[in-house]
Amino acid sequence: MPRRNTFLEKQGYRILDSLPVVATFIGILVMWEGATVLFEIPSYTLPAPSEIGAVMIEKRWQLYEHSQITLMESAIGLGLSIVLSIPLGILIVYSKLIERTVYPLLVASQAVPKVALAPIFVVWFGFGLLPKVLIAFFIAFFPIVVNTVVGLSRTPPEMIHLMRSLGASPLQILLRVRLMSAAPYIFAGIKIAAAFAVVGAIVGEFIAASSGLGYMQLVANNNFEIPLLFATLVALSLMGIFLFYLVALVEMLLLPKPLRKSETGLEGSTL
Amino acid sequence: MQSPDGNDSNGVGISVCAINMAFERRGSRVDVLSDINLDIAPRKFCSILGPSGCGKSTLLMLVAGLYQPSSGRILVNGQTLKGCYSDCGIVFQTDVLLPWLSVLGNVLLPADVKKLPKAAATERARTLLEQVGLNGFETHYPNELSGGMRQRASLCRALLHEPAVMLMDEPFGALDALTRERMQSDLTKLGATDPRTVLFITHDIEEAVFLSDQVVVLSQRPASILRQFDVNFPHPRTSDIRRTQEFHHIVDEIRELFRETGIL
Repeated sequence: MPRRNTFLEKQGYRILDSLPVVATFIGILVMWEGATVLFEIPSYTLPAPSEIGAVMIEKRWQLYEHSQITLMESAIGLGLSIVLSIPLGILIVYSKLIERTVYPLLVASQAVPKVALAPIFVVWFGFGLLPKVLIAFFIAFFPIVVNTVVGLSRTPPEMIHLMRSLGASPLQILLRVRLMSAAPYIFAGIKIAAAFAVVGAIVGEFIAASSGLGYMQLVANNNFEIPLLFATLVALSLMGIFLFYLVALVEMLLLPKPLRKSETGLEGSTL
Repeated sequence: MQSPDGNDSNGVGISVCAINMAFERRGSRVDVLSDINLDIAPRKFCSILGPSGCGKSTLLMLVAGLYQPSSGRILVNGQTLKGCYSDCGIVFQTDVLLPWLSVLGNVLLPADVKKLPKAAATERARTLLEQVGLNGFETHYPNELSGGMRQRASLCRALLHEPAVMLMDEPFGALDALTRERMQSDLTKLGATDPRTVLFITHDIEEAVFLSDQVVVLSQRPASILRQFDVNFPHPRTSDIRRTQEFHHIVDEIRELFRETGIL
């Protein structure tokens, strides 16, 4: 039996582990700052990190409010895609008919750049929340379906044999074995989908919106407020990280330890 | 616990009648089993011995009702098998433990699926685990155990619901020689063999002779029965019989049979 590390020791190792990457990041910021001073780069070309930080503090409430809008659009889109794509993935694996009819079309539909659907959705659904949610949904949908299908079909056949020999019903086999063994794949799909959903919401806001971080970027761009443009970019990244870790947290709470190592079976997912 | 006909004391007999089995693979037909006729008396230990890839495992899957034969039928307890036979415990080549359940959770899986009383099942699971030396590992996950420990846990799982029939598909094939010999004696200790009918697949001649009352030797694919041997050592057996003349005699005879048919 290996000696079990105490909680504090583990946290200590974790901080030590992340030290190099944090140091590198700070190093890049320092070089960036230095370069803007040294080469006298004008702030409308590349604002210094300190300048971006200052704008972020100054406009924090504005950034916060617009972030909330974009976060809501992405989260609803992501939520919808999770709720609809996992059952669809199950149907594809369980029904030969759907596997042969719907699935190939779904895969082929990935040739359509979904970002380019945004103008059409605006025409159909107007300027409100709905078109952004739908774009986020459409982009986030596919990775989860594909990962659900891949995960479910990689259940070791022996496990299914075992369950059948114990007299388990198909529903028991699905819930207790197939979904469980597919869970790491499904979560990997959701993590990718979370990042995609934010992109979808932003693109929707670029086309037509009166709020949200995408709208804010457009306004900053038009007013030539380049530091603010960068500040919204930082806010967007933070939001993406927030969503990603939210999914990771749910995964950690839901899945037993041996299943938490996410694997991706993702092929051909595009924006 | 399970048998509806109350034949726990008498055991369940298995008859394999004129079984042929073929698989369709990429449009071509592969014959796996050819005209297999076999009777296993209730509460007897029967080993199927044959070269690798000959179709031994397919035979086990047929008896479990997990595959349907191309022709012929299988009688369990005098009745033609339809669908899965659920009064059996299966030990596969690999442990097939569910990685997301603890060792105890895995051993309790049959009780869980069959909705057996929880307290009694837990009690039995703990007893079984203790008998194979896995006490203290109940809350561990399978990936924290060694290969031998995992296969022992899967043996406990197969025995939890006191099945009338045990089906074992080269259960010790993936283990090292020492662990394998230990597991062979564990089988007896666990009562895996005693009140049950056992079908045991192996390619290890000595293992088959050591454990069985009846050794069925199969040919290469498509497999047919070459010969059957009766092994009359009393149970429970200890390693001592491995040193007897009779033991070596049967082992040599089987090896000679393999040599004659070009398998060895």
